[in-house]
Amino acid sequence: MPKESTQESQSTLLEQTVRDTGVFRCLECGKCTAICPISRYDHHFSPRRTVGRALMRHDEALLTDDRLWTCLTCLHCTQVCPAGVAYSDLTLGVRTEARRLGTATVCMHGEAIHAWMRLMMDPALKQNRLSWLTSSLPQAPHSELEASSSELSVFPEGDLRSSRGPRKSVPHLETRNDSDTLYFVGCAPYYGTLFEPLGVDGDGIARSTVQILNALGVKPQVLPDERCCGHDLLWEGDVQGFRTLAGLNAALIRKSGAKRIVTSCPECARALKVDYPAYGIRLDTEVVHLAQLLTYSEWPRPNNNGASHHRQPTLRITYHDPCRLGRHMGLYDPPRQVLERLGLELIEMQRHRHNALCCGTNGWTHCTIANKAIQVDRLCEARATGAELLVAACIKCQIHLKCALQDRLLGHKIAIEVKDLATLVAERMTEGIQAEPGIFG
Amino acid sequence: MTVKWKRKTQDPPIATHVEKPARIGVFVCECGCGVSSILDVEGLVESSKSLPGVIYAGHAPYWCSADGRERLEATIRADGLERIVIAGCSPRTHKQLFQETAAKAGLNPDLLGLINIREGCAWPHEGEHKAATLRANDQIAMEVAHMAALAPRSPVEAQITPRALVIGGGVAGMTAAQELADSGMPVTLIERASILGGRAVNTTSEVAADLATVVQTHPSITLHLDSLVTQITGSVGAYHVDITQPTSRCQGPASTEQHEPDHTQRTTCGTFGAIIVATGAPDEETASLAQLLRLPQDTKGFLPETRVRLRPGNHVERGIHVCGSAHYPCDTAEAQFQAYSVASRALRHLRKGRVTAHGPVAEVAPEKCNGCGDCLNACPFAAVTMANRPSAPHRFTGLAEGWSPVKAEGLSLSIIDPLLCTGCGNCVSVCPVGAVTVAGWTDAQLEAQMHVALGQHSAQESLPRILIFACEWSGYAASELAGAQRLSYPPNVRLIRLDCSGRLQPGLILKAFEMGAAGILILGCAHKLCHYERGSERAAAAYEQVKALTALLGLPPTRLQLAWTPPDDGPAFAELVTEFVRGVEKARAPARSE
Repeated sequence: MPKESTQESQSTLLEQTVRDTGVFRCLECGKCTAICPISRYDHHFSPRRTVGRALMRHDEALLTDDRLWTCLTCLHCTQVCPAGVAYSDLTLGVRTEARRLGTATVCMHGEAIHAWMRLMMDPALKQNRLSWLTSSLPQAPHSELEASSSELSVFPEGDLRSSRGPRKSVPHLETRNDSDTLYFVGCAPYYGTLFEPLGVDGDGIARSTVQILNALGVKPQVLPDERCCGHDLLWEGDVQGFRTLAGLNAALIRKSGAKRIVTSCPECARALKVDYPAYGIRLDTEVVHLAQLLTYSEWPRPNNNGASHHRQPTLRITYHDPCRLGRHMGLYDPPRQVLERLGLELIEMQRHRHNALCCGTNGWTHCTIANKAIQVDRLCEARATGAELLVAACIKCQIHLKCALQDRLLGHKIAIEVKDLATLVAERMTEGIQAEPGIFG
Repeated sequence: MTVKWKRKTQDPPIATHVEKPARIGVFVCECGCGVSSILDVEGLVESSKSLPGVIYAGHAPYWCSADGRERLEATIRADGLERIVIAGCSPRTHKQLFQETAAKAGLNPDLLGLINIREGCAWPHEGEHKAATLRANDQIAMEVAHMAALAPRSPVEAQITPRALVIGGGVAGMTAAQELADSGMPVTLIERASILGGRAVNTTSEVAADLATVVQTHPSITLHLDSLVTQITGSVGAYHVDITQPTSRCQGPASTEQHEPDHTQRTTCGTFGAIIVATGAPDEETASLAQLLRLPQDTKGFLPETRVRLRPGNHVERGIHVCGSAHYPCDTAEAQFQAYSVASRALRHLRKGRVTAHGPVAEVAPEKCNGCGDCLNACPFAAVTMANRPSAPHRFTGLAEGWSPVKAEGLSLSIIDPLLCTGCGNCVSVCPVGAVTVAGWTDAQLEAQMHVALGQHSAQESLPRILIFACEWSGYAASELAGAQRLSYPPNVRLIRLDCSGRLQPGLILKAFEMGAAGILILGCAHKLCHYERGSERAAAAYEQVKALTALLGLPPTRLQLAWTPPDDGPAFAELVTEFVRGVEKARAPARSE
């Protein structure tokens, strides 16, 4: 029993965190700091020092350091720690306390992302988030100014997303309200809107996923009132926000009667599979990532007898392990098996699988030059493989790498095409199957 | 990062570095009875006293009178006030006056805010005294919150080098040079040809011949013929100019110099406080010079005058002028006329001795900037340069001497020249990581205002809370005009004034909805009339994004609108706001409680 603290009662949460995360076991060996990608570029950040502060109960320093919010929670340090200190969980605990005390930093991108996540906490909110399901729609006018010059007659209500060009016709997507399988979409439509200038097609990932599921003989449920899974709010210390979102999602999921949830986002997968039960939120369903589903499902035969797989040119690709899919959930093989099945030539980056370098993302707070340096490092590593395409299995990885690719001063030094796994699979798997533009039934 | 601690118990807090809140004084003006006949002035003073940071609140019939200003100055000194909020009439007419008073009392003039409760609150709602007072109450509280969150910045100063450079030895250039030299200002004149005269060469113009004689013999004029400007560095007040000059003898074997049969070398021409461009009719060299000097060119290549009427108030005189056919085609008489005018302006600028940049300017936090260059794209005034990090001056990186990220090859840092920055905030709006801030319009300040406008303590639970973001030059001006014309519109609006609508990013709007705004109206300038060149374009782009996000969220479209309002149309403003509030009330979702 730790001796009676002279601090206020609000510090007992820190005591709890310190106990639960095994901070006392720290050997001060420094392996965590050695492997930490942020520490490499930002000498003011050190996992070992954070652990030290927690041990010595230097609460003020711990709770008020800006850099508390820079940690990527990529789990690399936890993985190499010989003493079993759960560093990322320590970060989560300290952030929770810091947020409660009012020292949290603000969300990036003008606070847009946390704002929409928090707006989703309203139980009365009725989103209009499924327009990606319908097939090709006329391009909506960009603004009132351009409306008059638009030749389009159809103006679907609520669908004011600007897009770079006319939408490609999408294949026929099928869903069923009573399906055993539920496709948890996540914030892809929102990310696609905010990061459209970066060339991130969130809608495309969602469509590709349903396309793949359909091709596997599954017509999934899709929830019109789905909320953000709460992953980011949780890791940024907003446990209450997470619980609210999780509660709303859980009610919808239980009501849906689904037995299995499929998601194409590793963060949603982790949240639904690991964090919801950890916080006592029952889903009564299995949770799988799309890559897992693909590895144990039967793929459709190619339409033509000419074996479409072989007709497609072999593409040299490299694969970026997302932290949440990789180190957090141990899913290194399923995406690789999928890529192999597609007949692609996979060239691994130097740091891959459990050693993969994080893409430099965190929960949307405190993005600095260190994050950029990490992204540049990762992109250089990708280019060094000689691959033509970098496959990312997480929309946030894609966003962050594409953000770094925008830097016109670095330009050709880091340029490489980046594509989501779902998009790539849908393209190659359904080659030869006619795309049918039409309104979904 | 400042740390604000919320203390739950009486025990001493864990943190020791609580930031001392600034001492704020609130001065409510009765404006004769213009305000006091409608608003409960005593009530406003009383409520102000309970606002965080306010240690003084008082009212007077006219704070702008000589008596009033004396009292203001005395109170600032006596109470050691660090921020001032005056609740009275228009900042557009009276802010400068009060700023002078504040300066006399030893206060940084930027630390004074003036919120309009006359045209802003009393007159448009003169039929509803209670609602008008409620609005005034909130607007004052918003301004107090805005000023409390303001981090003061010292004005940036630069010395002006008392030397002038004239580029171009035609009639215009020579005239300007002579004017300046005759007034005692040392002048350097650069001409790319081997003789003076420009287009007057080989004509019978006596004017050109006489001028050439003067220029060649004047003791205060340094002449460089066969010279071209190659580089201009430095900033306002001190431009360092490099030129190519012919060398006096051949250097090296002729075979290595095939492209330049007349051997030239680069040399430093000097440092100048003013540059006059008189390069004549546009050609390819005009374009490169325009780029060096960050001067816009029109479609034919001429260098137009900056739109003086549209320049924002805190625009710093750059000391760069254009005259003669480089400006637009003109004959000898017109060229001379322009040259006299420009020389006079340049002289005035050079004799000032220094330039001062007051007011809001953008600053980059070096550890946050990831070198993406979005700010460079967004800046209408070319105030941004991207420096290579490892070699960026230490004072800009803000990091330990010599420190740079490992493998930082190619990583850049945005550097913003405070003398060129006009504080429009477009860079703030586009920066993905919040590395750029404009003191005076930070997110913290705007959110502090939003919090007051939309917060629970605003005691009008039954009416929907409408937020109006109004650009100084259009919507805000129109709002004051509407008030002056005694046009009424619904009083449950809360107005936040911005220098430029381009300051707004999608996240701020979403945050306002998160805080409980029932409706948000953004008022900006029409594209061609934006005082910051491209601010309204930025506003439109941000609006598109947030519109798409709110559509996904299922928020009714009538709850968010972007409108162009001319500053001189009071009725249009009143109508627009009335329509908008109606639209919101129709689509009203229950307001979110925090």
